[in-house]
Amino acid sequence: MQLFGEIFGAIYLYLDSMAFLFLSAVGLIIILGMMGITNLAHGEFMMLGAYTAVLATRAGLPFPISVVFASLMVGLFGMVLERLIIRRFYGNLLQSLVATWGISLIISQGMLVLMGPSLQTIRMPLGGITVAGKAYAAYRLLLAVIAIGLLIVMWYVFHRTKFGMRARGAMQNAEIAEAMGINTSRMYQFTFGIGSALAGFAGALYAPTTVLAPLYGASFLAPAFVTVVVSGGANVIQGALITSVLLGIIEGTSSRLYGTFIGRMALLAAAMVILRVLPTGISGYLETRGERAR
Amino acid sequence: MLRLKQLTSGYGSVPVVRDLSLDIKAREITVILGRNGVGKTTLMKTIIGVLPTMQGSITFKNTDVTKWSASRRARFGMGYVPQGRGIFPRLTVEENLLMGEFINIDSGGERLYDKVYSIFPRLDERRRQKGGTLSGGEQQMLAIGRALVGNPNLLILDEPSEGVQPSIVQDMVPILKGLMEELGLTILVVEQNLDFAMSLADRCYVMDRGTIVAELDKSEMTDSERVRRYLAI
Repeated sequence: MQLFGEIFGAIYLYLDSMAFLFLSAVGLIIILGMMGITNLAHGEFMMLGAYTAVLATRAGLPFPISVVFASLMVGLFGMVLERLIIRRFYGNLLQSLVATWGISLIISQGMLVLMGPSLQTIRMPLGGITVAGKAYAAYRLLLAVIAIGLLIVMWYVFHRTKFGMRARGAMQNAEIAEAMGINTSRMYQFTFGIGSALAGFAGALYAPTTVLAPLYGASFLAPAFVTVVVSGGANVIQGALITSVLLGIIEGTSSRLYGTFIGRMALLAAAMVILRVLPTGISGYLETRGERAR
Repeated sequence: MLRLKQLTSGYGSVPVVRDLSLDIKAREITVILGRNGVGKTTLMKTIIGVLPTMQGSITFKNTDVTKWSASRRARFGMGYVPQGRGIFPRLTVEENLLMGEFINIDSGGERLYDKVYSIFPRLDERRRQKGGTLSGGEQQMLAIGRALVGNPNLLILDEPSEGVQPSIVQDMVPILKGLMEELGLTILVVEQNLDFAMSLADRCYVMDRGTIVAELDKSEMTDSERVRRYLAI
């Protein structure tokens, strides 16, 4: 029984770690993979999602509805931002970094002015469950289930729908896709909207698990960013999955043994080592290896 | 079918195509011959709209499309087979073909998947294979097929013979001629492979330094000495 408890505890920890890495990174990965834009405001988008969900819940909406509402709002916000600002920086990595970084500063400082330095969050839904004498948050288990569900949905959208096929085509060769009658400009706006909505979704989901502050975006961004960079390559879903599992195991193990701070450190160290060995990232490596095998 | 009037275009502010005027007649195969670097690909990209027109105008099916985006022109009936074929390497053969279905969608014509598979049975055998794993010739068939499924009015091919083995290049001649006749297609090809161009063309132009410098009629085309002199090869 005690062994079972140990195993369950470990699985819980790993799932929690992986789910967070996956959910926080997936929007960033989609935007980077499709559009070549590294959205440094991703963390702020998550923060906006969290704020929206909390405020909507406080206003009386049920929490699940608030999460959906927050995703939609942040997605819409992203689409407007793409039209006004982001699209001017396509194909220019450095400028797009500066632009999105500027956006992140404006959002976080703006929220600080509007909402004050912190926001009382809402209670974690669902309460706890006890396994082998230890208490676990049922909500964190639900998050893991949601992450797996989202993974399946994303895979389906990208590999089984016409939209996904066109998106992958535009990713591989935008100019030819455009010459085939695909409106890449609209597709980019839509993609940026989806990526933003996923950021809002992740932020809203994790809102009850943390203290909210306008400057919290940065701490959201770091692990998401590491996951994306380590993933690399153009195979969005596969990359996000493999990388968040691998980094989840590394972070989970080290924080289990030495605490959260060391866990975060181990995450960064692992990222550095992996990128030293595989400069194009895990998914990039699998891709070139696959091509060589042919 | 397609009328270019004093067209100037290029990259940034540097014009590559200069003051080029040309009339492409319907249901003909027009070939533009030119050496490397005379602006053939730039011209093709300007016609399909991935490069903006700096000056002049492009009229397609009696409609001024100069300011249209590439996707809108494709939807209006321009099918494009790019230089180097531009296959989506990580999409399957079937998916690559599906990508072409927007071409000419505006006139609501039928989609020609079965037709493409019957012209190119090799593609039928390789439906589930990734585009990037095909040979050069097969990729060329796929690129042509992808532009054809949408049933375009105008098919534009940028150096289709490049990187394709000679026997397949020769096979392409009757296929393209057959398509023109059967589907009432207008075909525009830029080439530097003289023999291929000769056997294909109804009408032939020579391009040099960004503009059309000569038109060759049928009798001149058989006088290959003269053509070679134009091309200064």
